[in-house]
Amino acid sequence: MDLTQARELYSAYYEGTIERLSAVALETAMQADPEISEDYQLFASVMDSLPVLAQESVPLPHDLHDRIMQRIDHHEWEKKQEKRFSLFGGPKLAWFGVAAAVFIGFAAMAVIQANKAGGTSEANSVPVAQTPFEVSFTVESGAVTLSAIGPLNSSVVLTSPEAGVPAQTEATSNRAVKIPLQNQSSNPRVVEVTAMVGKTKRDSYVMVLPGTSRGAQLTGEGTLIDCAKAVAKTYGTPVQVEGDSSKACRWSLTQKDTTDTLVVALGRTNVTARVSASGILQVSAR
Amino acid sequence: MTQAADDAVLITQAQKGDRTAFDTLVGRYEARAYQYAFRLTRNPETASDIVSDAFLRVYTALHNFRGQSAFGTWLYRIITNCYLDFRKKDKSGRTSSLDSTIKGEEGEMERQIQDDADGPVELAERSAREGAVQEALSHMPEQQQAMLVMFHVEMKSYEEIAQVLDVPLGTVKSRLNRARLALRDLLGQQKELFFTG
Repeated sequence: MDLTQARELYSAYYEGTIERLSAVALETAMQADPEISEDYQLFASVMDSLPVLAQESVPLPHDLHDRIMQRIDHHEWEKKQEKRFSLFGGPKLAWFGVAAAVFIGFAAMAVIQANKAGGTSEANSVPVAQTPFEVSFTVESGAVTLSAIGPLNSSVVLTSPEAGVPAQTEATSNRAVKIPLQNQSSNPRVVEVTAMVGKTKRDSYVMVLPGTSRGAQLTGEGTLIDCAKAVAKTYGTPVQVEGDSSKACRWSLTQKDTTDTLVVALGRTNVTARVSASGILQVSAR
Repeated sequence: MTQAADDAVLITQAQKGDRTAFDTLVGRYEARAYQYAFRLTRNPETASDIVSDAFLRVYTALHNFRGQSAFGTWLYRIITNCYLDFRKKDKSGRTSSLDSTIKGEEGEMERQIQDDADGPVELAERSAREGAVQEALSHMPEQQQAMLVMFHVEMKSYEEIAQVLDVPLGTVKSRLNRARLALRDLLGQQKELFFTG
């Protein structure tokens, strides 16, 4: 047996899975040839040293989970953008392309006209497509998640004045974010989400999150917010308040209301209720 | 419920678009994924990138996952592929970290090997051997390196490696023997580190 043949057997010999006859042949070769013997000894010694690598403590980056999820969110956003801005993605988008081309043509003509007139027109830049501001809420097992993506310099600001916690600002500048909305207190809590672009308020959303305790507040009068809190307290469901939240309203519910009958029951007063596609109960005052 | 059954429930929910289920799945596997990626790359940033890439691939291909192998095995395969892709792109080779420190979030730190109460001389020798092995590993072809790390560091069995690499068991055994021989040859110049006492 030469060195090359011997080497084919090293792993099996080292692991003890080698056949008896092969083992005898290898041992004989090692006794007869010091080169094979030394070669195998170094092989075995290197193998013996490998398990120490498994004991190495590898510190986990604290933001690893966020990085992974942000990567996925970014991918989702890019997919949305591709659909939205591809000129060849479908008939509607092709029309968008035509409209954009016409617009650019008119813009170019306006610049030419302005230059001919000797003016100092500032119309020398073509508008850049901006990500529209999208804010939505989803509910799963009673937990509400805010999803938002916005144009350049955009952010969402979360405030909860009753909770006495500082406002939370999340940048949404061409970036999808998901923020779980939580209420650890016993009573329902109002969370206001304001969509901002720079320092300009773009839109606002009011969400009433149920607290940890339940209680029947079946009838009452007050503002639309009070009504939403009563629903959240009684049924443990989050409620999105739309329109003028300070508008007066009254409500009369029963403990056995399901979502459908709840919508009907609220509809008998001056409150319009509906369930959004993402499962959020939305109320507004008529 | 077993881990596999639990995973199956999460995977089914995630396949239906449930992001919370996917999030939970990521949380369950990210540490193992990162350790494997780190042991291949020796660089925290690159390891994080590879793991993020791998989970993105999982996310986009999850609808095709039919449970032919365990989720963990599938993830290892994806991480290995992401690593091979990374090495292809990074023709200049790795810049890390065959010295005795790891770049962490709070600056550099000494590599920490769990100590079995050896004396300072033994510790120094072991540290030198470990450094030499790491250096040699980093110079090996990616496939061989991945195979050695999976078997000797991640403690995967031959069968698991065969599933991860999607090759027959006999191929794994012969390739692993070749990888071990290659490692032994690379360390041949430093044999004094391995023949002590």
